[in-house]
Amino acid sequence: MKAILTTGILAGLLALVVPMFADIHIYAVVTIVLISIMFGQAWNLLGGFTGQISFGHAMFFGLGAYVAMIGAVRGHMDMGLGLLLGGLSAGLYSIPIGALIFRLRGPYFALGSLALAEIMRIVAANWKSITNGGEGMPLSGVNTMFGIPISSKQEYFYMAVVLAALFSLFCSYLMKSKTGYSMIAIRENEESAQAMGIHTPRYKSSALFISAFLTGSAGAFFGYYNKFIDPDMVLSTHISTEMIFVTVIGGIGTIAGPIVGSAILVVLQEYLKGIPTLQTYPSLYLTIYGFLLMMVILYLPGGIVDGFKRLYRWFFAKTRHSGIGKEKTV
Amino acid sequence: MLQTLADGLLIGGIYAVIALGLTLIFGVMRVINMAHGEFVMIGMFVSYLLFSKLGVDPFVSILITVPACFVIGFFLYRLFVEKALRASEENTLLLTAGTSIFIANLMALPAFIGPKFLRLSSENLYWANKVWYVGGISLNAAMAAGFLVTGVIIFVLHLLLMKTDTGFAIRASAQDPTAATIMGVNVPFISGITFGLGAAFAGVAGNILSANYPIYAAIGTLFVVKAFVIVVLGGMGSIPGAAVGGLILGVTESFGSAYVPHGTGFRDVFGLVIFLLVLLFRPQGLFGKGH
Amino acid sequence: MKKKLFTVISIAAISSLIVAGCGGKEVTSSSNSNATVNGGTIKIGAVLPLTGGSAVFGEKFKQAYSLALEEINAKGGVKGKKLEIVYEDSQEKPAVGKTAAEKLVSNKDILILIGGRSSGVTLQEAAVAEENKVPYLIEHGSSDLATIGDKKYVFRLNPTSGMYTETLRKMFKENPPKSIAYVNVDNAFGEAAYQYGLKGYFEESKVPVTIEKYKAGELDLKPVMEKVKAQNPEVVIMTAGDDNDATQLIKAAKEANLSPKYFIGTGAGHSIIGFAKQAGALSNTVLTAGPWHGNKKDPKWQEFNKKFTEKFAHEPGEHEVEGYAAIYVIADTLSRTKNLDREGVREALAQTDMDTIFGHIKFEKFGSYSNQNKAITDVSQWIDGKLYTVYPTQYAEKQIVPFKGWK
Repeated sequence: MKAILTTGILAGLLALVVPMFADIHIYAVVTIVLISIMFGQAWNLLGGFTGQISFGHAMFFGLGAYVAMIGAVRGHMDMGLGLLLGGLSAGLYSIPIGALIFRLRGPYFALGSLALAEIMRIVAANWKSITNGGEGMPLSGVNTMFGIPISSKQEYFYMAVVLAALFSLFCSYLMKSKTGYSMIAIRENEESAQAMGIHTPRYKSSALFISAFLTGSAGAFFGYYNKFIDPDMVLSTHISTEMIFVTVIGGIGTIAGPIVGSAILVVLQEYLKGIPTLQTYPSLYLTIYGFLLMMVILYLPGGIVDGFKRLYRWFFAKTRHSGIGKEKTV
Repeated sequence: MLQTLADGLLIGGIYAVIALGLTLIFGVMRVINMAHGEFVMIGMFVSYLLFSKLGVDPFVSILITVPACFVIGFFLYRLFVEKALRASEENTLLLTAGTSIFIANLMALPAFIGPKFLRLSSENLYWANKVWYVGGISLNAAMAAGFLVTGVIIFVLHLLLMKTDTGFAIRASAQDPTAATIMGVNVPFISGITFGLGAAFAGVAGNILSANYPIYAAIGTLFVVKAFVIVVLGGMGSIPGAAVGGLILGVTESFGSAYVPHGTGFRDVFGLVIFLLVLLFRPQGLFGKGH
Repeated sequence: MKKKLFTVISIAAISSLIVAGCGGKEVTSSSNSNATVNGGTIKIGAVLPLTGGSAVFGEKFKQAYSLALEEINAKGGVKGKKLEIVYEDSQEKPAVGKTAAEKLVSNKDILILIGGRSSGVTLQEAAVAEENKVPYLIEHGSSDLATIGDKKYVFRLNPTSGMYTETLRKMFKENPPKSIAYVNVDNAFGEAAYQYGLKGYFEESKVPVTIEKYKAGELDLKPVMEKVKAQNPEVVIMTAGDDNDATQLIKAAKEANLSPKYFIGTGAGHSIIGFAKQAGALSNTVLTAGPWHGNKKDPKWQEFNKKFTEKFAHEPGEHEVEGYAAIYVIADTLSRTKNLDREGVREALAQTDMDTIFGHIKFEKFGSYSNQNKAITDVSQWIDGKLYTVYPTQYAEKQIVPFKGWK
């Protein structure tokens, strides 16, 4: 209930306030933040809550994007249907993938996922007949979402707000369910979880499926919004690392993490681009992100959200809290 | 066919020396160094700097690259990686990933490599476009020389590990850190040394490559994935595994490009497929211990 | 309760970061909702790679634009108003380019867009232009898709990737090669060059052709060249998106001892000075087929060449000529525009019919293209680090020289 209220207020605020002064550019930036929230929550489900760090989530993002775009371009598929189909394709794909790489633990899982994502990218770049290869797939015309035509930036923005809110709420709800607690148990100590009777392979696969599904849907939306995709936009390691950035720097293992992380990082990036003196350093924001990631891992593993929590406790010293958060004492 | 084999072995040698560094780091500290490729890039940059400013041949500037990468690696480990290790393996992975991104983009700033490609200009470079002919096969001179250098390095490493106290300490730390500590080995310090060594190997590869290839800040990512494939193939922590694995990867890529239809466009896929096959059928690698 | 309040407040604070982060400037400039001229300048929006690996190209266009602007403004501008360019950085990434184009388009003072450069960014810029009804003049981006289909607002004065090899194909028709090996890069540029240009010729001509693909940025191209050598082709055609790939290709050719009669590139990587610099002596006698660099016998071209070289300390090539010509096309368009708004500019642009140093510019509908200028392409050859036109004969500066073998 609390989650629904918070999310509702936040989403409502956004939907009301932004259109008051936004132009195309502001809509663009805000929508990118919202898309980042979507894939951040999706990645967090597997990485933050289940403790399986994936470096290749772009494969689900890209698969969802391509399925949706192919459907829209070749079959004039409705966007709502495309979101579901994109997500489903990614989810189904995750089943054999999981069978393959869940044999690996920890860091090796991460690398395996990286390799698989790379393979998919190369395949997409070369399979001209299906994906149009490196030239990319442009989408033209007005599309409908469950029957409603969506065309203006503002309308895409509303769609994004709804989706980001839904993703966040779903993850929040999931984490409070038995499935969620099992996932956390696996993260904390897989052997103990198994000893307690949790069927770890099944929960890991479920977590992967849901994570892949959500990531695929986010990819589908990304394609629809940009009206263009190519292998580098949706299948490169850049996307995979972006998911990790916004979640880890924001606060891994929390629902607020991807939200805070996306807001701050995307806006920071946009801000840095606009400073004339820094215009000669395009990679400056990436240098800062890399550095931030390092600092967060070492000194603030719970991310910015954890930073806020500590600030809060410093202010209201008597209050204790309990909650879902990956807080390890360093 | 022999030509393809020769080409594959030469590039395999480079892959091997990079993977060697990575497997060393993993063997002792169980750390997956995602920033390993960046040390190759640093090696290339050092080579470029010394060549363009002072005319030093890339093979000679190895003498500078080795200490430079060693020092950077050592401090990277002691200041950052060690701390993350105390928390968890996942944390270390994320940390080195962040380090990789940080270093690669730092070097892309105009003060260093900048956003463009750099190349050792062919005018004064002994190795420029040089080809050696051995019995009808053409060998890229720099790569061939590099192959020999790699051989020397492996030999020296072997001596180091088997015959010196430091080597003994490294092997002890790799086998059992706690026991090693009890025996008086300063494990954190030795780990730092190992990390530095691993970084230095990557740097050497960078020097060799700089004779032929363009230098740009993001080049590290090309190598790190291949290095991982080799380390998994050879067995994590196995030095002969890294050497053999590197050669296998090089030869596979070479034959794949030469004989598989459209193989040239899919070159990277061969290595990745090997990776998956190993994971499926022999996850401990060729020389690794079975589970 | 307190915790919830705290959470909501802090999250709301973050949302206002979004406002602060990118609000600012945009708010003031978008308050002028009339899409007309503001004050005394007419604004042109340009999306270019100002940073990143392709910044060197962005720089070329900036230089070319500024020279043209200087000349035009010195004569009083257009209709008494000076011309001004607003730049946004694309970092040569399509997603960034899209946001950059959107930023420009939301500035209502900007009447027309130029730039783009790479295929991906050009396509995104074109989509943004078409959607927001802003005219867009492409002067270099070569992705054929940009002017295929019935777009109303997208115009292109340069040849498409497919058109790059038009003159080369004419040359082949007069003198068919005995056999061809085509080494193509696996990105959008390579695909378009093959799909819209060479494929048709290969299929019609009955010349034996083998095609090899390589990955952009691949370091070890020797296997590719070994394969090509095994075919023993008379002509080797190569497509490289940047000078780095072009250089790696020719180096690999030497290592493999590949010795055809001609090495021919298809513009882009093969037609810029970076190739000659990086490849050094290996670039000698390499040919390239692509947009021409202007009629070097035309006095107007020579004047441009002189002024540019004096101002920027390097000679202008294909990119600079395109950029300079584009600004002049816009100036001409603006002088013919009745109402200085985006629709008016579009209409006037569509009726362009003028001579520039890039040749005659007229936007036509032919084949599957619309609003496309039938730009001139040529075949040029690198001799001692400089590029000379060798075909078509009426513009040729030198005679074509076959490859002389590796020493």
